[in-house]
Amino acid sequence: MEAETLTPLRASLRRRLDVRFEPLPDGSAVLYDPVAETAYAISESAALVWELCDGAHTATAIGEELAAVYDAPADVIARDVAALLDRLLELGLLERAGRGTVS
Amino acid sequence: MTAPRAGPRTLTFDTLGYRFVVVTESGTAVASLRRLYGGEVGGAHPGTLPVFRLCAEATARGWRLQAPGSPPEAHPSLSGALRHLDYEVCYRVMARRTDLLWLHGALLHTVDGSVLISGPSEAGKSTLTLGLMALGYPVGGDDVAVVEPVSGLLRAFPRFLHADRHSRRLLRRAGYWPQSAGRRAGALLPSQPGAIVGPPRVILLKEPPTAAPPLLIPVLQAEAVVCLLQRVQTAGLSHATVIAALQRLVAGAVCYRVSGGGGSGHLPALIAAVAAVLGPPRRAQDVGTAA
Repeated sequence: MEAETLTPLRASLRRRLDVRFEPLPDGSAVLYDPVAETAYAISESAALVWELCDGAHTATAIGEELAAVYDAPADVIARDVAALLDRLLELGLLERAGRGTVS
Repeated sequence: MTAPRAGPRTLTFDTLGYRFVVVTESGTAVASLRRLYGGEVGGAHPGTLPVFRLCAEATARGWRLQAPGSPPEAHPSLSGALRHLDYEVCYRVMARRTDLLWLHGALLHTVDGSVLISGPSEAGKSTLTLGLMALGYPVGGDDVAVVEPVSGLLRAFPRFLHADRHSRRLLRRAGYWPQSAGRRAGALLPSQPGAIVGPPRVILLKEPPTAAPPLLIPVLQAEAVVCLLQRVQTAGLSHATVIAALQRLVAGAVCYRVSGGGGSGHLPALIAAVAAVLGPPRRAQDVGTAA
């Protein structure tokens, strides 16, 4: 349910431009926040979510994109995507994009 | 009739572009240091080089080490004085070579490539490294690995291996004390000090030992990068350069988190589990040459 997460399903999120995204051969990636001087390890699927946070995709659209890639129930993927977006928002790595999308 | 006392000998050596001189009357110290650093014995040296003076205490058992620019310090054993000397050399080179990544970790060699064991102090890196050395794995070092950030070339900074009394007891009890280390606890030499190798094939992120059975869990390469970031000294490099260098370092590696395995009861299982992941040891003569 939308109320359970910080991220509204219709919200579009975008990556903070100064956060470095460093992909690795096994599909995982490092996100480096130069302001906090902190690095985070993310999995292959989280890296895909990160790349889809372009300000145009909503949380719902990102979930649908992942559902097309991964063999898992759509509602499970949607819940995991929302949880990840919440976490990235909390860490300040993502910003809400556009008007009228903030809950 | 006693043999005439030998005069002080001089060893001049170079490590990562910095030259040092050791002046000592101890032939054992010269031989150990030469196996660690290479270098030349005897002869004059330019007065501009930093000089370590190592001599036996005149009135009591023990040794006195005077590092360049520092007051003399007493040590109850020669091995203690040598470990102090190698720490001072490492510290001085580290302070100058800020263009390199200095990782807290051990380096050893298998048939298929090198292995980096990283972890915080007291994580048991040296105990695990000595246990693997006893199985025949050539060891570059157990404490400091140096990464050239552009090429990704890796080497252990030459240091004596460190095994405290507890570690020695565990290894001996488990039957994993390296033969080359001898019976007594001296300044233990790595088998391949200074060997230069490419990026590691395996990275082990060693956690402090617990009473649980040993566990090797594969982790993401990104997790290894984040973990190694906490173990690296990079005074002269930007974060971007460091992360890029660590990316190159882990790019070809399988990474594991190593937990549990504390206590003598679990040590053989820990060493066996790690050896199973690493595959056969590399023959010492096939390991890269020292610079």
